[in-house]
Amino acid sequence: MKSLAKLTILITALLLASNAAAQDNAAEELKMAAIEALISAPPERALPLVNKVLAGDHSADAKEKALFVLSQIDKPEAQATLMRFATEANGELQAEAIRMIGIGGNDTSLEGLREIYASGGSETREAVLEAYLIADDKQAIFDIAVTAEGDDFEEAVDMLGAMGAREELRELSSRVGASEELIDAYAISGDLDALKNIAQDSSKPELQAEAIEAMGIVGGDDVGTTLVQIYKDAQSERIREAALDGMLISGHDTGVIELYRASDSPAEKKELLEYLVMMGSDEVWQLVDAALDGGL
Amino acid sequence: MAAGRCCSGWWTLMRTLLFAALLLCGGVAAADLPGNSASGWHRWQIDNKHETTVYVRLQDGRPTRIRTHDGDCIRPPKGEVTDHGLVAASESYLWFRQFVEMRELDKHMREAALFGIAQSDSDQAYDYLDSLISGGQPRM
Repeated sequence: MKSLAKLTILITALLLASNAAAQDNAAEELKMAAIEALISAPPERALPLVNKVLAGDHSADAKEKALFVLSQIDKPEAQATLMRFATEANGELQAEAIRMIGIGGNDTSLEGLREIYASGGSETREAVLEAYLIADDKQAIFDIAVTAEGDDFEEAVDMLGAMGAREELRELSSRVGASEELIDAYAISGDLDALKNIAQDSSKPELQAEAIEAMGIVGGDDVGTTLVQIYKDAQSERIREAALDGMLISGHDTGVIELYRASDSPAEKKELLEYLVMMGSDEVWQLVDAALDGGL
Repeated sequence: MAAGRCCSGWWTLMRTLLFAALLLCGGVAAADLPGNSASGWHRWQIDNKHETTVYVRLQDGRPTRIRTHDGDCIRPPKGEVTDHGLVAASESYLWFRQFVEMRELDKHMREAALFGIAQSDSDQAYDYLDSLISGGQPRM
């Protein structure tokens, strides 16, 4: 009987605790929704409440939502608060404030991010690049890339590629020279002409091969035809392999089949057949049958 | 609309007091706005400096769609719309508040009602949002 009473008390306590937790969770959801709703309030009404959230003992999620509302308020005091968090806050809250400056797109605040980039750690620098990406500020990322080195250079160039900043990438190449990072960015931005230029330059064979392979990422009929021609004209095994890898990436199996049929070398035919298998080409089994029948 | 605004201050105060009394008694109904059995689309304009337009679709008094926008930049819904005209910000706030506090209502509708409150542009509305943000009652 005593055990039953204890069990009843225990179950009741658990139910009460579970109910309290559910209510706390619901209150937190309502709080988040109320902060989000401030975005539709007049700025002079929203600003005091947003500042209160940022200054108070609230969760990081609540403060991040408040920063977003702040980014949508086109008032100098709102931008000043964002800049203060972007400069003085720590960790994820600082990164979020920086990204919010990108979302807000205020020119003065975006300009202020340059100094934050110059003095910040790697996570801060990454957040600044993301802010410029969000704000579609190609020039700011270009300016960073010109003087950046190592991972910073790679990240900036990746961003330019993702933004389709072809002119900026070409200008960068003319200043710092071609590099693997720039080739990847050319490919992502779809700048086939820039890749072709590097692909024709045999003075740096490794970059030449990288550019040929990267043409496969751009894809399209023009790329397929060019890669087949590069393969045919290739003076080295590395260039031939790069052209084949480009065709593999772009899925240009008709080009590989053309090369297969034109080849007299069993070793080359074998290699081309292996590529066709990797590409999952529909015609590969007809070619295998023909090879088994002695048509190799 | 201008004539309505000239004398709206005193009337708004009276209505606010009335609704505050109703609120204290546990009820938050708004007399000029759709009642608890209304259905279909309803429209009103909040008497604030932004002239916020509200469209709500109701089913037995409960909202199934809420659209709010400042000025006239809002696409009216197709079909019949009951127009409630110009409504005091405090009234609009109280009307939306009843749905924020209706626990059985769909979560998204309760959140949409919060946007209606944020656009009500009255001291009561922002005190209420402040209380929610500060972790006060009511709970969701």
